[in-house]
Amino acid sequence: MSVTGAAVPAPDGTPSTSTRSAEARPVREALREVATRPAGIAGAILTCIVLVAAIFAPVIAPHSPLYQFPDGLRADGSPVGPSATFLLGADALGRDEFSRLLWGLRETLVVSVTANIIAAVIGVAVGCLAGYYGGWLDAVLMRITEVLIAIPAILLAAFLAIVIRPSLATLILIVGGVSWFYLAKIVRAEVLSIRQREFVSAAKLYGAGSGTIIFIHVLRQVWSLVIVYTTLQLADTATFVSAMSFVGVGIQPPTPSLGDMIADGSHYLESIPRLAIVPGVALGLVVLGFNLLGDSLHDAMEKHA
Amino acid sequence: MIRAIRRFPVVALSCLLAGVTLAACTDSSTGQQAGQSHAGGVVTAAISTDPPSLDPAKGFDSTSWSFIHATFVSLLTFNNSNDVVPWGAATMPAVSDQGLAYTFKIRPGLKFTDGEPVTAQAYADAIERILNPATKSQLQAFYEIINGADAYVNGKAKNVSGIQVSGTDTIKFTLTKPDRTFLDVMAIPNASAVPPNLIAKNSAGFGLKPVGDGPYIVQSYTPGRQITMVRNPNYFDAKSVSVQKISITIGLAPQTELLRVQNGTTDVMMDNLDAPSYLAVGKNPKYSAYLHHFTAIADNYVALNMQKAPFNNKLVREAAAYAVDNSQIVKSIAGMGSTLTQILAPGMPGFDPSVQPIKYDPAMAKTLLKQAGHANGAGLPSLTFAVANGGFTAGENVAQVVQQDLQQVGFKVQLKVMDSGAFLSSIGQYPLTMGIYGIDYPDPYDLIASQFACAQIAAGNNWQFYCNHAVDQTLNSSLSLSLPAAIPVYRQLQSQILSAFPWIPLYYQTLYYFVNPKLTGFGANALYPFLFASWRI
Amino acid sequence: MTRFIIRRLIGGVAVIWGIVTLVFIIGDALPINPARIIAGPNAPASVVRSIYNQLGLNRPLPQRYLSYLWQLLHGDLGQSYATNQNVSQALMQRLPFTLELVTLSVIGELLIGVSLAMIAAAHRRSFWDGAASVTALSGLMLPSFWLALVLLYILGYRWPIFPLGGVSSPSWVVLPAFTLAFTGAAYYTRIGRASLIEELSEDYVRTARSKGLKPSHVLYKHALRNALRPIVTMAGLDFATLMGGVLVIEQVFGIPGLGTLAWTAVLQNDLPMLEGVIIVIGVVIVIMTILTDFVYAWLDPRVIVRNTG
Repeated sequence: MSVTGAAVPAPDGTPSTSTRSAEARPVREALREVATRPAGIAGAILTCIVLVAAIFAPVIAPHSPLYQFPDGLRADGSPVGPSATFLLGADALGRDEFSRLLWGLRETLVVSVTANIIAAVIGVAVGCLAGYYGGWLDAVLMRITEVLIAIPAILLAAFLAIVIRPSLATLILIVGGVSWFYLAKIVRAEVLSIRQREFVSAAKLYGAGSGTIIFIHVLRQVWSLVIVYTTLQLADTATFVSAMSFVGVGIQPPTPSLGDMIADGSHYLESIPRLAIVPGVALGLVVLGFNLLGDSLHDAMEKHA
Repeated sequence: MIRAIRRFPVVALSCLLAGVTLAACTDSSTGQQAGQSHAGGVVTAAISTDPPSLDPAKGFDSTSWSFIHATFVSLLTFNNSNDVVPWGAATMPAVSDQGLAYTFKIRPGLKFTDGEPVTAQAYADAIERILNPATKSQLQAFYEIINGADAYVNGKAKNVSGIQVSGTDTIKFTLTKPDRTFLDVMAIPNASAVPPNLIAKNSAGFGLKPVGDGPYIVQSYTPGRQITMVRNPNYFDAKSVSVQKISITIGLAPQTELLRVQNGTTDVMMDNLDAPSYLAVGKNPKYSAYLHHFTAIADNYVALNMQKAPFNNKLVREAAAYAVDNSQIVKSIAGMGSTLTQILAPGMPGFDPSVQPIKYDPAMAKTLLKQAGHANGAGLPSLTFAVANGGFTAGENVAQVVQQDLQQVGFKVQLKVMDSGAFLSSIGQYPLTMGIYGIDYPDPYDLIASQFACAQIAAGNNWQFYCNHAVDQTLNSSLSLSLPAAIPVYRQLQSQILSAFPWIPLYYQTLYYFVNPKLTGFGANALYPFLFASWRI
Repeated sequence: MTRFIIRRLIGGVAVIWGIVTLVFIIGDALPINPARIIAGPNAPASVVRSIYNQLGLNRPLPQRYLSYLWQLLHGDLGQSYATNQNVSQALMQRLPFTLELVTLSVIGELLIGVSLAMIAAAHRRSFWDGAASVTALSGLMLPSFWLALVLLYILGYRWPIFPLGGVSSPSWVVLPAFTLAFTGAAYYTRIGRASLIEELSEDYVRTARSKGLKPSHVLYKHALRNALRPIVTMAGLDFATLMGGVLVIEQVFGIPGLGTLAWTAVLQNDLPMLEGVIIVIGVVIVIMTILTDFVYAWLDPRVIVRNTG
């Protein structure tokens, strides 16, 4: 649930009353701006590392994340610590923690990124429709959004998970399906304010068939907002996906995911703390990277001439 | 018989650790004076989830049984040696009619805490209540051996004709055929009397506010939060009960419970230690006095669905059994157990220590698969392996070990972890199911028949879908034998059943409990991890 | 103003109706048979069927829906499948804990978040700006459930300052609320800082400064009040998210609130209980959202005009 400062609408959805509404700068310029600030650089680097690790996990990982080594567990059943074979030690079933971390990162990111793309599409669509057409469509869409906001996402997931732990696809759909609300509100507010400003001139220029053109114009305006918001949202989704695995409605074992690893590791906090700390730190770095990047992008875009 | 998804599989006797038996009073070594009840101390305990039911007609897992056993008096009960002894009955019943009729005399002095007297009629009503379909009791099948039960259950009779009450203290049960396990079935906590007036007013809600006649009274019960029990001064043997109050917090994670017992804020951790907790405290000399352990009389195995491909082929089943590395399985549960070798578990009469476990032999498994026409898994679809979730994480871990072992010889296996409701509804759908069966009472018939009788397929306990009518017949006729005579029959039967490889045997679990040493008498008998009435602090 | 209030209230009722209906639809669509759950896994099919009819599940959809609504209007949320408790009763018992936790968490978030934002905005681009932002970010980095476990272990066990889970003493709320507050404060810091910076460069601020008013006076009195608006929006939504997110924290700390109730309901397939929790949480959220709207309107009366025009 992150937000860009000035564009925050009122709770009921009416656009922000700030006289300094953002004239969003082109993304390229903003990126250049980001590259000059330490926070931005740090964020970009972290994000890159995380993405590279995730994308190239199959190549980088020394072992399969699923293979339980017979000598990964000692005779009493406790996992072996860091060694030449196991860079970060073994997990509770004798699997290589480092490989699982990389693959878990990959899993978490795949779900986050895909889910957020879906969320962005839905959010923009709903926001545009509501803001552009207004009237009863707006009212209905906004009420539906409010209803969905009022049902906590994790409970909704739990409700559905009564039957079974979701597959990857279902998980992505569920996460995507609960992450678009705020984006929709923001987009709607933006569209409303654009409509007030541009409608008259556009109508004058193009006559009756101005609908599509305004639509495209709206999308162009909203686009940078969506990028910033989605980047920030990625961090949230990563945490949410982990939370779902933590309570047991994430992906089926033995597929590794950061949340599962934290959950399993948390039982060993007293005996083998590294099992909980390592995935926790990994998740933290992902969140940090996305947030720094998103923040800098936002700051850069908010700069006014 | 009942399939129990036991969160805490039933416990075997441990004579050494059972410091106190139910008849302790005659021995005054603990300083008790005859005739004076020694009451002392408050025990704090923590448990992660509510006991499924405190109602004698409903609870059938070992935790619920521990509570029911502490608050209600059944006609008979099990002592620490797993023998059936009289409790609510004054003496063992008189058996007549060639084993068809059992007559009990209720002992005097039993009183419900709401003042109602405990009469023979109360016992009769309680058994009928279990049989009554409206109660939705899962114990119903246990008492269908009583004459007239069938007619009653089907609505054709208003009462069970085989239960006859005469006077206030005599009750006679007539069975449809001789069955030595009837005594066991009258010794489980479910066969306790309940106050008829209260039940008449509110039967469905009785479990939330149980009223009994046993060693303890449930003073208050808030589901999800706490249970408080206090000593019942009107219990007929109150002087054998020591702890004045037991205060149980519900809802803490087992990990937190462990920390609390370690730092002294809680006395008893009522969840048994899982692998990570055991690794944290099991080898620490500081905590050696805190640990109590017993081997559960329960089978942990993978049920192979014999009615569907590929496990309808004996060679494939055999291959699966040889593929699994037993020692790795035991390692994955932190050594809290031993390899399962037969249907009867250690502690069950008839357990045969000479039976060897199935050797871990992946080469043999591959050969067998090839013989079956599936060299290296050719022609085998991906097999779904159903596992129940619900706090029992050992199931998930062990399942992953099994999955890898099977995959190494060519099977393709996919895990499907489900909550227990969905899991139970899915029995029969999938080729592989993680199975556990804990005993209901210490008679070998229970373990063998519940899991392998043809009728148990419909009843939902025979997850292998094993069905052999000759075996069924032997099982049925074994009930009329005495236990010592029946044991060789059961040993032969289990060997016959297992030679068909209906399951992949996994392990017998040893349950570890973490308890502050200032509490003595923790002990346990075959069926109750928590013998509240024998605790002393 | 009255028209505004009425409109919001009607909107709120509509949303509640939406929640209730959505819950009904999902509950109905789930492929589980409540009669089977109540009867137990060993009951014969005839028993299951009779319970099914007893529960009225054989009636047509519109009839079931209407009777469901009718029951709800009477505050009857049904009986738990698992414990046979009255669902409404169970919920009311648990609600205070969750409410206390969430309210204190939001307050904590505001305190931490807004103070950090003020520091950052007042010393923009200096060391303090960076320090405040990093502090906020570190909270964001840590998954709340992870931080909860660590805090529980360190401050509940190693150095037992706070109770080790449960609700036995009044200080039970400190660790869980702090966990949620610390991990959630960063959002407020971010908007607060951006918002404040913007306000501080507005004309009226420059005017006030040129009149000789002290910078801090300007900050607290004027800029903050205007900058609070987006924070208010956020707090409303945040409350909603927390009501759900608190589930994990409640589990870790063993708090007998709505979260753990919902969780047990999931494990036991206790549909009425789970539906009840979702509805109650939904209602609380709607109430909070309406309150947020009123606060926002108080801060910015223009909203009222726009909404009633």
